[in-house]
Order: sequence, then structure tokens, then C-alpha cells
Amino acid sequence: MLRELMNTKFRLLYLEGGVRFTRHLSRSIFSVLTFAVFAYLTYAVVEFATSYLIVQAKIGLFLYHRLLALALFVFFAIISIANILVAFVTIFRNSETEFLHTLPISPVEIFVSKFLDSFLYSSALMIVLILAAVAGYAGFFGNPIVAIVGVLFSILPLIISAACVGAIMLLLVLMASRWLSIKALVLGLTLIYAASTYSYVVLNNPFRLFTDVMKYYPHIDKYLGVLDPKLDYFAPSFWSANYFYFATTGNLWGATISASIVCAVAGFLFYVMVKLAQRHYEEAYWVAKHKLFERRVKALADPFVQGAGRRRGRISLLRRDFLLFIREPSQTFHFAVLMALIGVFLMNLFEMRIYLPDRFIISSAFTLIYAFNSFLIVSLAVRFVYPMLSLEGETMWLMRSSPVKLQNLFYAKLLPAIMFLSIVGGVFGLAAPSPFRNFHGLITVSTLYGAVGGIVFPSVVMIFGGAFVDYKEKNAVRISSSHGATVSLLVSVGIMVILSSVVFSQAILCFSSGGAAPVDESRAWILAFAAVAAFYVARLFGLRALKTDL
Amino acid sequence: MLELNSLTKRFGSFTAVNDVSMKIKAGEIYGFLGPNGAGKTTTIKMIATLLKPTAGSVLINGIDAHKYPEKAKQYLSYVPDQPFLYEKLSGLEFLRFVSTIYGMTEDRAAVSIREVSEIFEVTPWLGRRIEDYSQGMRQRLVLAAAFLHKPKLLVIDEPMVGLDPKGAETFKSQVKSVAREGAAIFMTTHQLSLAREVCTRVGIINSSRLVYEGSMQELSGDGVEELEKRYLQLTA
Repeated sequence: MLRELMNTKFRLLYLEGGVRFTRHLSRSIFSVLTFAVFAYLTYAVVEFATSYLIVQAKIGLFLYHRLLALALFVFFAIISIANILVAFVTIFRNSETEFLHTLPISPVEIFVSKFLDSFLYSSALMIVLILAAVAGYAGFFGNPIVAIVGVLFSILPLIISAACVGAIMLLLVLMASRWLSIKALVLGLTLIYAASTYSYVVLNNPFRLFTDVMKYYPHIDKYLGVLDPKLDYFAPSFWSANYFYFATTGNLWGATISASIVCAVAGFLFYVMVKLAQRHYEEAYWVAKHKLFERRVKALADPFVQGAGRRRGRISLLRRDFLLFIREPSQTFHFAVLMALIGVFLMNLFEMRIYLPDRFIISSAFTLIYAFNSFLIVSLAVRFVYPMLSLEGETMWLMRSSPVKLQNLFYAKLLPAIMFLSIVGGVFGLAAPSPFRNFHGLITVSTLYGAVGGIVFPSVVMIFGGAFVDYKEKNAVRISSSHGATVSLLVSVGIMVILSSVVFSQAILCFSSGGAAPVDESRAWILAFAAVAAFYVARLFGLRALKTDL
Repeated sequence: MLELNSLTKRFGSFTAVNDVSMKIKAGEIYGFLGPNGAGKTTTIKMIATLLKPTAGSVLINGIDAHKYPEKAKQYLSYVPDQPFLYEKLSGLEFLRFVSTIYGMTEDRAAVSIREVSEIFEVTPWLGRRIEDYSQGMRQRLVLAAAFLHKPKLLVIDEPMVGLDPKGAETFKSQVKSVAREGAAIFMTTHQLSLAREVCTRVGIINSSRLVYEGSMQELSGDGVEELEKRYLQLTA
């Protein structure tokens, strides 16, 4: 039965994909081009970074692969968290799942098929980028066999492990929600993820590792396993990176053992997940469907009452979107997690002190912080702004048949998002220069560019939200992990790279002159123009989406 | 109140509605009948401005609904065949929201909400979220929202979906009542008995063309059986 389910799923994916491709040809070609450009850029960046670290910085093969392990761990944690959300909406709160429950299919088969569905649905970008990154790695070391085997027996099992951990956590949370409040459980889960990521990063501090490895110079290509914290052995990402180290250094036995461990962990986690699902999925499904968010609206009679006249109509659109947002657990949960992460990151920024002698390196460090800030804004935009138009969904009949100006409806969505993200961007801008000495000159530049990001990114994301609008899908998480959302993420990252390069040139000026960094007026005008242009293009696409035939 | 002029909708090479014209006066209850796939919902969606016509125009109270949508839709209420609503709002919040988008004052909204909620018997459910409503209760809520701002033109696609006999009775008497007060009603239905009971005029669409238009009396003669016979002849 599971096979039939998956066959149908693949056929649908293939057929729908084909129909969608031909129906929206220009859109599809643009998507393919964006993916291709990003895949190439990823390939080039990984190859360049590897070449720089090994040839220029001479950090040695061991340290390089420990940095790879760190990156893979972060990657593992991100996939795992993302899968908790995607699995929740796909496996538990989905109309197709509801339909499958009416058929003579065992619950565990439904669980596994929907698990694979959620895994495939949100992984297109990830798989493309991973393949490109591994190709970049192989490009430098000149060993494609290592890369192909690595993707199949090291990276793929790692991704499966991460997805399984996410699904297991989700099942445990749903089961535990019978005794504990969901808020406490979500908080607990967030703390577990935050603590484990923090401990791992502290234990594997790259600066400390660098110092320790350099004590063995010139034998820094050798396997210096004595330096590894024992806790690392429990992280599949560690073994995944080890595979690449051993395979590249020609130690086939080590590579085989490492890959076997990653595969065994994936198999074990998958087995545990299926066993857990066999015992508890059906119960967890009903908890998620009925009990988890059981609540009654009491005396919520007045949110649309205050105000008068035309203004009242406009405000009621804002209030409606706000209420729908705060009452949708998948939205508030993800928002709370992202805001908590931003809070932690900001606190760290204010406390951090970076002393680097070289103006190029210090400017790069500052630009990296700026880029990371921007990436957080892009993530917020893709997750929450992209689905805004699609979320009007099948209730769009009401807006379209009533005397609401669609322009007002559009503004009620984009303007609050821009306001919020500009403030977040501005605060990031204030915090970004604080780890550096002589940073005061950078504050204006950094805040300005941060705030501009807060206008440009949601606008760009909204352009794609409009171009790829889907009124049939009503789940925000699925909308924000769709194909169009991925394209919007890639394009935003492209813009982020351009903005970062401008920030870098300003940072170089500042750190060269000992603190002064006047805002370059012509650049500021170009930025202002770009922000206004992005907003108007977003308006164009947004209105077109709102006026589309229903 | 409603005027369709050579209304046409094509989807690629397929013509869903072909050159449909009609006029509906204030106080009329117009039944728009036809077999599945004939073009009823497409026509209704063009009236409610959910679909843009390929050719022709829709005038609501003399205003072109596709050129001046906000102005024209002040007079319109639309009830779709499937009542998709904001699941996370309560019934009362939904009705209040509808009152604001139609620009009703607070006082008028409060009186009207009480009135329509009682008529359609949704008052006990108003505090609950719509996600808890049954199909029939949703339909009652949508109908209550449609009557809320006392529209001049009521466009209803399959009004009886999910309604129990009492709800159906309420709907019929309410439709007759607003028509007496001067509103025009345009509705599609597959229930010929309903059309016979409430409609004053009838249009029949078949294979995208309007094949019959006339008074209910002319079409049905003495009863539902005659209506069924004529309907089957016209749509054969």
C-alpha cells in the first residue's frame, strides 16, 4: 500500500510539475535559471573557499574537515527544526492526511508516506545546493568518486537522520501534550535545540581548535582525533565530515567506517521513528487534530468595532490579518522561535569583542555579521511575507465581491511587514558594528543599510509571493517552503550579496581611516531608488495576484 | 439593478459563457438554471467580479462592475457555492468584519448583526470559532453575512447546500422579504422546486448559451412537473 501511495505521489508530482511548467513558462524558466545560477555560485564559492583555506591560509586538511563538521552540524539542526514544522502541517494537519485516514490504509503507512512527502516537498533547494557544494569540494580535490559516494552514503543519510530526529521530536511533543501544556513543551524543545547547538559550537570553538591544531604544525594534514571532544562522536555530522576527510586522504577503511556509521544512524533513527509511529501516530494525529489547539473564543466580540468610516475598513483588514496570524499556532510558534534566535544573536553581538589587526579581515568579519543579519531578515520575509497573498486562499471570494480596494488589502499586508522588518534591520544595524573597535563611524551606514534591507527584502519576496500565488494551499508553512518561496529566497540572497559588497567597501573605508565612514551619498540614493523600485514592483505583482481570476 | 451585456468568458479555446445578456429589475427574484458545466457559476463569478469577462459587461445599479468595482460592489452581496470562511475568527468577528468592509457604522452593524443572527439562528454559535462550525452552520453564517448590509443585489450560487429544512425555509422567506423591500436576487439552483417556489423570472443556460428567459409562470405552468419537463426539453 505504501508503494502505491508513493507511486501516486511521484506521478502527481511529475504531472503537476509538468503542467505547471508549461502553463507558466516564463515563470518556470526564471526559476530554473535562478536555481542554476545559485548552484553555480555555490559550487564556485565552495571551491574558492576550500582553495583559500587549504592553499592560502594553510589550515590543513584536519582543521578544514572539522570546520566542515561544524557546518554540517548547523545544517543538521536546521533541517531537523524545519522538519518539525513541515512534518506537523504535512503529517498531522493536512486535508490529504484526513482523506487518507478514511481509506483502509494503516496509520503507519500514512505516516511514512507523508513523512517522505514532507521531506521531498521542502528539499528541492537543499538538494540542489548540497550537490553543488559537494561538486565544489570535489572540484578542488579533483576526486568526483569521493563526492558521488559522499552524497549517497554520507550527506543523504545525514539529511534523513535530521528529518527523522525532527519527526521523532514532533511525535514525542504531541504525545506529551496530553499531560503538559503545549507552550511548555515547545519552550522545552526550543531550549533543547538551542542548548545542544550552543554546546556543540562552544565545544568545537574554531579559534581554540585552530590554536590546538597549529601546535602540530607542519603535520596539520594528519588525523588529530585526540583533539576532538568525545561528545562529537554522538553527532552524525561528525562522521559525515570524517568520511570526506578519510576519503580525501586515501584512507578507505576510515571512510568506509565513517560512512557506515552515518548510514547506520540514519537506519536506526528511521527504525525508531517508524516504531514510534506504529505505536503512537494514530493517537498523536487525533491530539494534533482536535485536542492540541482546543480553545473557545470568549467575548472576542470587539476587535472590529472601534474607529469609523473608511479608516475603520482599512484598520479592520489589519486586525483580521493580525487575528488570523496570532491564532494560527504554526505561525506564532515559528515566529517566536525566530524572534528568540534574533534576540540571542543580538545579545551576543552587543557582548562580542573582535580584535583583528588586518583591515581586510576585520572588514570581512563586519560584512559577515551584516550578511548574517540580512539573512535573518530574508528568512523572516520568506517565512511570513511570502505566504501573505496566498493565505487569502479560498476566502478570497469575500474580498473580491465586497467593495474593498484591493490596493488597501495589499498595503495592509506589505506595509506592516516593511515597518517591522525595517525596525529589526535598523536594530541589527545598530548592533552589527559594536564588536569592533573604532566602530562609531559605521553605525550610521550599518543602520541605514539594515533598514533598507527591511524594505527591499520583504518587497522582493512579495514580488514572488504575487507571481507564484497559490490560493488553493492554505498552510503557511507549506506555502513558504514551496518552489516560488525558494526562488524568492535565492533572489533575495543575491541582493543580499550585492548589499553586503557595498557594506564591505564602506567598512574598509572606516577601518582604514580609524573610525570615520561618511555615508556615500550617491550610493544612498541608489539604495533609496532600489527600495522604492522594489516596493512598486511588489505592488504591481501583488495587485495582479489579487485581481487574478478565481 | 443588474444588467449583463453580451457577457462572454473563454478559457483558452473553451467558451464557458457565450454572449449572455439579461436585465434584472429591483424586486425580482431571478432563477438561473442549467445542467452541470453549463456556465452558471462562471456567469455568477463574473457578476461578483471574481472572474474577468473576455467580452461584454456587468452593470450593477448602472455602474460597470469591472470598471468601477468598489463603487458597484457597494450594492452587491455574493454567496458562493462553497462557503470558505476565516476558520480562526469567531462567527461574531466575521460578521463584524463584513460590516466594516461594507462601511456600516458601528450602531447600524450592531443592530443588523443581532437581526440577521436571529433570523438565521446562528446567535448561540457566534462566540465560537468558525473552524468548529458544521457545513450547514457555515452556510447560515454566510447567508447572515450576505443579508447584513441590506444589499440591493444579492447573488447566490446554490443557496441550499448544507441547509436543513428549517434553514431552507428561513432562507426562502428572507429572500422573498428582501425582494419585497426592493432588492434584486440572482440565484442559481438545481432544485427546480425551490426555483418554482421563490423565483419570479427564470433564465436557463445550456452549453454556455442562454436558451430560455421568461417568467416562472410561463415556464412552469401549473406545477413542478411541467417545469421539470420543459427544463429537460430545453437542456437536452
